[in-house]
Amino acid sequence: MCRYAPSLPTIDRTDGRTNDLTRLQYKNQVVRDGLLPSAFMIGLLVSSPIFASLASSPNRNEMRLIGYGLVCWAIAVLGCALSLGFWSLLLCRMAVGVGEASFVALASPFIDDVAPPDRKTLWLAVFYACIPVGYAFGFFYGGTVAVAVGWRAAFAIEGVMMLPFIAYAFLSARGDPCGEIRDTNPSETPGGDYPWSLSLVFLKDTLRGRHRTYLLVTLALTCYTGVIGSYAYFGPQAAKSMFGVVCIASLVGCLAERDSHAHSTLYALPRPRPTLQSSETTDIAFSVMTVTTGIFGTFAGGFVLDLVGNSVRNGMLLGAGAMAAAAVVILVAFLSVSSFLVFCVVFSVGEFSLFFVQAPSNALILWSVPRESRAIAVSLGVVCQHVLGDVPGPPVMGLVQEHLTHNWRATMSLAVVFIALGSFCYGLGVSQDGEDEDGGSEDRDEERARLVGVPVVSASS
Amino acid sequence: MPVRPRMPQLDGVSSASSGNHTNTMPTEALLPRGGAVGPRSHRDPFALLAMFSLLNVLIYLDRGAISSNGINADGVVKDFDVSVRSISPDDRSNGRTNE
Repeated sequence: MCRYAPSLPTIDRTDGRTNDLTRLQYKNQVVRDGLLPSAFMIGLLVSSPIFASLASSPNRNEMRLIGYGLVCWAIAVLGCALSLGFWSLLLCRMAVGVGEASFVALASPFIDDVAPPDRKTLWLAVFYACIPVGYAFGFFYGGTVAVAVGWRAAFAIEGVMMLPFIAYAFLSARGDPCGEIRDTNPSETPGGDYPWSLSLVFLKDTLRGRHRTYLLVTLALTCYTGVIGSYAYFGPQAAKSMFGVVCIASLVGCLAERDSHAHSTLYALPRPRPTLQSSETTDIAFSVMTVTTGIFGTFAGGFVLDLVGNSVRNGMLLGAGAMAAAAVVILVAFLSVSSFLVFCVVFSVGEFSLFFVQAPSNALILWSVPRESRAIAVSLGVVCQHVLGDVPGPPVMGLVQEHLTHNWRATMSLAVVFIALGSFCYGLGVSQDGEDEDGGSEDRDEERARLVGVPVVSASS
Repeated sequence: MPVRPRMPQLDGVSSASSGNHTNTMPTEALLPRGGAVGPRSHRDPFALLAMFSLLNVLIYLDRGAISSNGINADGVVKDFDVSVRSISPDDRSNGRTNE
């Protein structure tokens, strides 16, 4: 079994100039490889606060906004299918992120509203568990459909698959109360402000300590995202280095051919060329562990929080406990386990504990801010998780390994500090019980009211 | 006069959005005038959840697909000739991992 992997070519090892040229072109290829999967992030990060602000304005029609975003997504994906060259494809990939933005910001508040009161977290868990499922299908789709009909047709099929969702969004916006435009006094609507004004106000409020619970949960989720991203990227390489060549390649078979490229492309970093058997085995093992623990851990977190009572305090307690447990278990896995199979079991338990906080954390984000700020809170949370979490996480881990520890066990163990930090954030959230927001921020209320065009007075009036 | 929306308090005393809690204020009291915000209903919540979940699958399917070898390394990179494999026929063998 063989597979393509970026590797340093050796055209003419005696010719330094050729070698330099080749290395340069190799770097160029790897960078371009890595740009494509991560290009959506630019569109997503720029546009999600804008969509969220629009959704929080009095004239919003959220279903319609989602519909517009999906139309943008479908057009962008069809643009990918018709792209003329690498850079036009890259531009379309960024537009895909713009299309995702409205959905990312608005879907979870919708689910939170329509879910049964005692099943809110479980419903959110169903929604978030679709992330690893989608990724798994994506690798399968890329490896089968794209190979069979070509990558352009594969993109086109994705665009066609979006059409029923677009129709649903616009029909729902017209005929359902959830899509109704509410009565608005034109004199109260904001005028002349930028579409991201509300997001900026919310961000300032948060940084000034008004939404402390939200801030703590977002910090914890950022730690979580950074650690998950770093382990996903360097995990197989570290495991191979720690345990040497292992032979359980029959685990999933040829799936490795399709998914092993993802880690190496996301951050445009070249990987060493390990032997086929060991690299595929560790890639497969980490992929399977991440997907399965992602699905079951997310469901379990949602189920348990509903079971014990879906309150902010309970969510904080669960988050603190689950991340503390994850820190301990993962530390044990990296420091004291010498067998790869035992490592897989122990590390899976740790990852399960990590994913356990996914649904409760996202629920906490929705519940710890005013209702009208939920979309903004979600989108800024996503921005924070990417910008401070899974984007810098792997490069930082690589730098630590290369310049500080030179030991994968030590490097991976150091990452546990961030899991512990996440647990600490949840713990702070529990301990600051009752001291959340509304604490003398009347001026911020007025500022928000001015931007929204809605007069705000105190409840006592 | 309208009422400023209360923040959901810790441990479910008055959470606006966590439905398992006892709202101490009427729904209207949670809404700024102009109706920017309010609890929504849907004629078929399960359909909405299914739609959003499938949509999530589709969006992440696209992210997974663009990272896969089928579309990225063996598709786009080859077609747009950004691969070092175009430099020399010898590269083809170099582009494969050792076996």
